[in-house]
Amino acid sequence: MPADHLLRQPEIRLESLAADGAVHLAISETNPSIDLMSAETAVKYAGYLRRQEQEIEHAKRNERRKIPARLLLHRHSRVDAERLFIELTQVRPDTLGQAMRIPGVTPAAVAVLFQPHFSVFKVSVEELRRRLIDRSVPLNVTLATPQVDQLQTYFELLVRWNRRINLTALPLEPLGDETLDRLFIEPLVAARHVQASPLTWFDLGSGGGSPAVPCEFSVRKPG
Amino acid sequence: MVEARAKKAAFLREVARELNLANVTVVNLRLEDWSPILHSAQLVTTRALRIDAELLSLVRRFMSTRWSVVSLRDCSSVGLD
Repeated sequence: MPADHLLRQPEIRLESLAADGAVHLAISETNPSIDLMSAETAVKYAGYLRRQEQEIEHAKRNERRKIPARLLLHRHSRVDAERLFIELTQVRPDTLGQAMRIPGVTPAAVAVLFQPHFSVFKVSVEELRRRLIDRSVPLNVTLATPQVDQLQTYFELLVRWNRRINLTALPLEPLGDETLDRLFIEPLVAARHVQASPLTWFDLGSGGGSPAVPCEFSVRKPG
Repeated sequence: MVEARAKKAAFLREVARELNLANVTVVNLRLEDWSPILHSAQLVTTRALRIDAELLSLVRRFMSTRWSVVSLRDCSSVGLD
């Protein structure tokens, strides 16, 4: 049996192995006991040390991992996501490493952040923004930044809820041009026919919120 | 916004809350049950709702004299006086 395997057994000491002549050691003359101890520890606990190094590496990776900027946490989530939501909205951490250091935020809660349910939208913020603007320009619909923001948030809510309840038959994932037109662009065009003055307005059978919600953004200019 | 199905109404309330749509009220009732307040309507919008004689007569009953219906069902606007 190789000496390092022998040494992993708790009762076997490096000192006695050396004394028996089973191993040959090049020991420092000035401080023999300490060197013997560290050599023994390194061999005996190699597995633990390796795991710890992996954990450190993992933590470094998480430290740099970005939290999506527009991540919306939902109240219907599991673990202590609700608490996490409050913590996160008050502190707004940029990376997973920062989120982990917020008092009261558990690793389980942080794991929730990276579940597909929360953060994976197949259409990125930039893409939705660009496509909304591309399709609205030829129709002379001008979209102010706050309106694009609102449409983005509305879209995210729609995607999330549509996974559980049937709000629209139009494909959201992936987001087709027809969906974009029907849900977002057409209501914005229709909003031109709606006067901006105070109005008692009824939307019947609102369902997924289009056209009423995008119309509302457009008619009542935010700010 | 009038929505008969509770789950969809819950979604609409969530949207209104998340987006701070202060002017929006979500009503979880069938239109037929909500007719009294419809008197005050100045604009009625609908989508994916079959506009038949029954619906029109129902709406007409509660409209003030000048009213318009905007239907997005086939991308066309219908204005009525």
